[in-house]
Amino acid sequence: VHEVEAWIAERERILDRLRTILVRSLRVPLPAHAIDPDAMLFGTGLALDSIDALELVVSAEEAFEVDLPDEDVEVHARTLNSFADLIIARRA
Amino acid sequence: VTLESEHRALRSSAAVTVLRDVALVRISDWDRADAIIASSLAVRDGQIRQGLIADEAERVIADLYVGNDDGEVIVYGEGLPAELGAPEPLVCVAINGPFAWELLSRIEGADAAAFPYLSFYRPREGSIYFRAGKTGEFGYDLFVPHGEAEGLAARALEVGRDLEVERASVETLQLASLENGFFTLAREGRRGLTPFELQLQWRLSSKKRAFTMGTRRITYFSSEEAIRAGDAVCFHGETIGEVLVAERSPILERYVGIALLDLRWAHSGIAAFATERGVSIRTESAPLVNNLSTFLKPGRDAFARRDEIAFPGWKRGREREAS
Repeated sequence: VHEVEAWIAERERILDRLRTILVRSLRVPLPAHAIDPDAMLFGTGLALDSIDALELVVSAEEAFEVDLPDEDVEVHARTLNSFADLIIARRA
Repeated sequence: VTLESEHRALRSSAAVTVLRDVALVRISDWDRADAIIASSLAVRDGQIRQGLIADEAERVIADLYVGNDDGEVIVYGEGLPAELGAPEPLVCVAINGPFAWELLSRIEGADAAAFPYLSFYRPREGSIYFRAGKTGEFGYDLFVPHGEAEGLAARALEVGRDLEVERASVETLQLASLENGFFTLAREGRRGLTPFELQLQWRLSSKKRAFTMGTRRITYFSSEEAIRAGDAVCFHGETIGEVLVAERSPILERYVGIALLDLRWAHSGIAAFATERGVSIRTESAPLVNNLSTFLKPGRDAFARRDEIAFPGWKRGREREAS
């Protein structure tokens, strides 16, 4: 139980930080708590565009001190959850 | 034709489905539409956005797109209440798949499929074509007069024969939407859940009615073994939720589903939960599949040269399995 709780706490910390980036830097017009983890980031959902994508990646690289290669971002940056998966994998 | 072959066509070519439960309504009174729909109506002429309608108890009752049609509100989707107005006498023929754009260009001409995502145009008087979809692939919802729907579907199959296009059932579309993490009103939408529980808060306008947060949230999962909807989800002897939906994904070769979990445990990347019958599940992030559509470019690529597309396959990486 403790291992799972620790995993969830770390994941929530990453999701919260990403939500803050989305609201403050990318000006997503939603309160942070209303950004559903499985909502699509691009097209529908949060409706981010390619410029937002660049800003999101640069901000995440800085916040989590990771390198996020373009080819991985293209595949994984589809929802907040899948983007968090990428960050966790790159930090491992 | 089986669900499996329909599904493969949808994921690798294009599939044609006549959607008789999808209605289209036109409303000239913006204030009335604004009062009924919980989502923002701030959308440019010729464009649409996803929205919803919830009842007094905050339960989602309609899954819709709302658009601006030259000053009128245009709404299409499922579960539209009568108070929105009478539906237009149109039927939706949906074309979904990585090569749906190639199929539509064969039906309507080379430039016909090039209109932007979440927009619409009129190919001729009486018909209206939307670019949308809930499968993660290229998608077009083609509204045509009642008497023309079957003819359009038949023509799509005929001109798409060498594209290996198939007619697909509504169930096939629903399976694809499940794999991609899209909401389906006729499935999880029938459980009386709120936008918070369904992860649909992003569709709500923060300037309208305030919705409450909840204590449960849907979470996607996969499993190597068969899972039944209705099974309890357990962790260390405690019930932490319930399986709402479970289907076998032919392309992932495992079961995928949606569980409604207590908020404390409603996170992806956990492989420690099991159903009451002892079947292990792994919670997953949406989408659960890679979509060929995101790896190709209309115009540059073509179905005939599909082997040249650098596609890593439908299965997503395992890096999310952290526990």
